[in-house]
Amino acid sequence: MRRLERQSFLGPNSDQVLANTKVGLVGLGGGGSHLVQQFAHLGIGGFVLVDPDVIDLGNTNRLVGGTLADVAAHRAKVQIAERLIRGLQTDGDVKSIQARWESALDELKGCDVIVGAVDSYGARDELERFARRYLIPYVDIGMDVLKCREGDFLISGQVILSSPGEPCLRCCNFITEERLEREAEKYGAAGGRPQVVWSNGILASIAVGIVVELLTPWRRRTEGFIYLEYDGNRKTVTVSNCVAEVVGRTCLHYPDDERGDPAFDVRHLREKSNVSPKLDLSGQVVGSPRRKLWWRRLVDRILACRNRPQHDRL
Amino acid sequence: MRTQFRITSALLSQIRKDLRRPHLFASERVGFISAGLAWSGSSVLILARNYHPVADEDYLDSTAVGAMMGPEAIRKAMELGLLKRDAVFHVHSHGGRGVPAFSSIDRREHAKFVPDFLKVAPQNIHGALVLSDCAGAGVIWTAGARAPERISNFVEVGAPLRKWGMQ
Amino acid sequence: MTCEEELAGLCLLWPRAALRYEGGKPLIFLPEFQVKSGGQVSTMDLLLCPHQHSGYVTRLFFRQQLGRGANWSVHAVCGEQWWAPSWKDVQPNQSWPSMLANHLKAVE
Repeated sequence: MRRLERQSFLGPNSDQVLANTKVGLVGLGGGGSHLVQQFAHLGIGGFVLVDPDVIDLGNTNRLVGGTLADVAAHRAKVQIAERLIRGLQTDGDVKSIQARWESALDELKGCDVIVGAVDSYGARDELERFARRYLIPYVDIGMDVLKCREGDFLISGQVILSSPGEPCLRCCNFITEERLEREAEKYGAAGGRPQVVWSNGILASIAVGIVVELLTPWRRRTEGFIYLEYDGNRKTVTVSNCVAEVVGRTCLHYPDDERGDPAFDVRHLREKSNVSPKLDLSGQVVGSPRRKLWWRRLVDRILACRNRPQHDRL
Repeated sequence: MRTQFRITSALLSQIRKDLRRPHLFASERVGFISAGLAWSGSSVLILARNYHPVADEDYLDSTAVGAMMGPEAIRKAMELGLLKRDAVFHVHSHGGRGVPAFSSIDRREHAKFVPDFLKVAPQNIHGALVLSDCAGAGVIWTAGARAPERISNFVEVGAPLRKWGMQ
Repeated sequence: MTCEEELAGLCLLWPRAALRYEGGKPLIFLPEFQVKSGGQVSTMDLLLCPHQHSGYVTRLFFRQQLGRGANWSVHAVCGEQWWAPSWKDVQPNQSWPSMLANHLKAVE
């Protein structure tokens, strides 16, 4: 039996399509950990995992795959995510970057889809701008817990698909200048907000379904713009009211002629590739301490063998 | 150099629709795609921006080839590279299904004018595409290269997202 | 004044200034600018945003974080990584050279 046989309704080539897809996951906390787990099970073949943090005790109420041993070991969230993937795909193409996503732009450019599980409007705004510039569909998920009057709380969230050419997060007023200003006044501090595993799971699962439908649709009609609102109190996920207002309209926030690197120059590649590696006297490549030339490695092996105690030698 | 050509489904549909339009005397239509470029590692992403059909009056009546562009068509395309700093790709369609291939006439004709775009915009790569009804193929020219290189793979960005070519 | 006129004014100060665009709005790239900060001069690229960005009415982005300046944050702008200190209320209704000078006060 093939590992992915039960999802063969996704199409005769679905295994290959999923295996040939590279997904960028920005944020590997509560939402992102669900995403990586599900994508790994599905057979997505390429991952760019980006998160600067290590797991702490407070994450263990929701970080899928994270253990108390990981907390004790100060394990990076990207390492936990990669471990999840490798448990199902030993030879998957996984690039784990323990850094802020703004430091991983080169790697993210090569993705087919980017899914953001970030915790600020500013990050979402810039991630979407980035994705639009490089013609990459972007899926955003997020949840919130709001205190209502009389001591009640409202659990809410959203899943939004923003595809190049289709309405964007600004078109549907999810990102507004007012929201960005309010956030900037707090210097973008978003830590410590309430987060729970089941809501993250619901939102991540919907996002995964949206990505799979983009790649291997199981029905004829697929949407280019999706905005779903989650109400955790009513236990519902509904299409946002704004969809009817914006769908079919051209997004004016991202002009087509902005696509690409602003100062691209192909001659820079030739300059890069003309630089020869420099060698020091030991035969090691300067600036690349792990790279030794073949003859250096052979000499090291011979010397190591000679210096081994008598009884260890074959 | 690995290259990936990305284009939205909407733009691709627009191009195919335009290329199917009949012309008074040319047996096929051609146009130009303007694109932005980006590094991704040592690969280059070609990001289609707009489509610029060759105007009806800019064709020359010729029996030697399916569509003969006049100098005005080339001049307008060169302006995209010079003034807007776009990467420029000639495009036409062979119709049919599957991944198409350039004919020997295509290759001969492209070599006559595509390298000239490098004179006005040497910082870019430029090239040519041929489309079928469901896929495409292409080549790029870079300054100093002796011969064009194949575009490694394509991504059609839409719902659904489609990829073809070398992975 | 138009963008081109504003840019011409800025080019008197820094000839290599160039326009870039994001979200349909212009930004001004100032390559290898000499930034005076804490009594020292650092050479680095700057990116001036003369309109609202990330909750600020205008913004100046730096290629690297400096010792001076408060609450630095990292951003992705025009496909590249940039840094910016928190420095409010540099209004958009002034010339670009004046705007640049007012933003640079954040790191003096």
